[in-house]
Amino acid sequence: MKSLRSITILIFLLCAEAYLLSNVFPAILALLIATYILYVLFEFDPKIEAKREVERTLYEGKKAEVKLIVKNLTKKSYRAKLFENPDFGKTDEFIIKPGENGFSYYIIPSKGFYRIKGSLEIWDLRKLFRKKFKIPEIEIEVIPSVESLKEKARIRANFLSKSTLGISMLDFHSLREFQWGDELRMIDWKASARLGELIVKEFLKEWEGDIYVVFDASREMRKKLDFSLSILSQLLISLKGKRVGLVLHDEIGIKKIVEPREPIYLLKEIRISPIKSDPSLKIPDLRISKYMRLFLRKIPSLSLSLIKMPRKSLLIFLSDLSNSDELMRVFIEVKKDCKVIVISPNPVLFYRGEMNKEIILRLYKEYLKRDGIIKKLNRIVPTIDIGPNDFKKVIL
Amino acid sequence: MISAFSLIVLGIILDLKTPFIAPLIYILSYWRRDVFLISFIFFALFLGYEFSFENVYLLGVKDLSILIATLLLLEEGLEKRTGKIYYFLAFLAFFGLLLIEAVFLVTILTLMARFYQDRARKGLKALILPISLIFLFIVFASQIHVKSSLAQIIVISSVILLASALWFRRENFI
Repeated sequence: MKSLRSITILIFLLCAEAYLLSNVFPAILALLIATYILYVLFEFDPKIEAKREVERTLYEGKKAEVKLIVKNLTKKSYRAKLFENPDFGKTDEFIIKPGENGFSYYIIPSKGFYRIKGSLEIWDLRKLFRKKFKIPEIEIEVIPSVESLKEKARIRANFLSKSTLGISMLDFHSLREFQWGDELRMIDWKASARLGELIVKEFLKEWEGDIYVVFDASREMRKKLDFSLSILSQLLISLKGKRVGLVLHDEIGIKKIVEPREPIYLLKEIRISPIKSDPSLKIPDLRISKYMRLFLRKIPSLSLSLIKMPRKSLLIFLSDLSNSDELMRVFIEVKKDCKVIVISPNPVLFYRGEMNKEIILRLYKEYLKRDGIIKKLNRIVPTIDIGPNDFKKVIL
Repeated sequence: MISAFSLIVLGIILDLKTPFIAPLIYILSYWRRDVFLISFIFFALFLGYEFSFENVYLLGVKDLSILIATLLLLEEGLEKRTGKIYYFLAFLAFFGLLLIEAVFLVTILTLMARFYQDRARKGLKALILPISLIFLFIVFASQIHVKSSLAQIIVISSVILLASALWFRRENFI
């Protein structure tokens, strides 16, 4: 178009020059050039059919080949340029010879569903005249690649672990295909929906230093002793091969500390008797006065003992949070040097008494209260609330 | 390339200075198209200023040679073509130093070769139309003794305006 305008301007300038100088030569030159333009115009009559060939499903960020098939139904060659909407990037100008021509180009798409419209701009070889031809629309679906899903899952998992759990205990490792025996809660449903097969998340678990299980042997926990011991034994089995210590405590203070050893030997150290009654729904407001403390000063307090734990240890608290205020103070203190995680059986879920309208309402209120405590604790340390049906799969 | 050699030969024969910049303009066409077109515009205007003839009836071989060589320069600048025939014709152009008709023959043969490669069909009709109009005018005008150069220029310009309306309409200039 620009070339044609320039030549048209030249033609009229030559006519003007011929008139001003009374010289026929520029006028005849202008006439010859105009005749030449007319020749190119009459010769330019392209007949083109075009279509695209591409896979209907592509992967995000991966180079995909698109084949453009152009049929030139005339006996002349033309210059062509492809325009697409949405634009996946520039394609170069190419020459279309008579007959069928195939051209390949590559696109790197972003995820989503696209309806690609396109047109082919055809020029004569001298690039004076052009004509546009539409290419039929195609639909493609771009799904996220496994690498991008892994990256997003890693960011999401690390964000959650840092913001909700307080510390990054569990680092996201990778995504892999579902295998028989994998926990259902590990399935990444979003990734699975996109890839069309079950995908599970794998986490890295890092322990630095020794591991201590801080077992709450208070009155309320002894009412759920069978469950607590089941959780403890499953924990210890999972920690096989690591050095695990035990800290046994109750409402008053430390009862026993067992130095780190093979986990299998720890269960026999717990010599406490169960209490056969229903768990109390109330969180007892147990305050030990300073006078009582004097009397009990030989019994080491929980916080004082845990402060002395080796740095970089992992402390797993198994407690129903019946003395949540004191525990919260302990968590804040020990969190400075050690990693802490809390597994807490929810007493509401362990209630086995008579159920009536009043009790259900009371249970609901207590559940909400406890939920608030768990949320408060989660801001300090990662806290997992469990019920009688939750075992290893929930905790681990 | 052939046009550049032909214009140099014509410049030597006709003692003109402007044709000697033709090779530079041809080389510019390899670099940038817009620069080539602007330089060609100036070349054509300077050539029109330097070379003159006052009457269509007095058109000779040298006038036609320079006209066709200038047109060929535009054609070669817009579209590059290769082939053994073009190298051969470029070589023949230098024989114009001995015989000016050789230049005319070389430029005409080059244009014909290019039209042949284009497989020209409808375009040949376009060539015939304005030339026929001019020819008719020349015949008619000689009967009524219109020999003034200005009148000839006006008639030629009118034909150009009519012809240009065809591509104006197609490209939506108006």
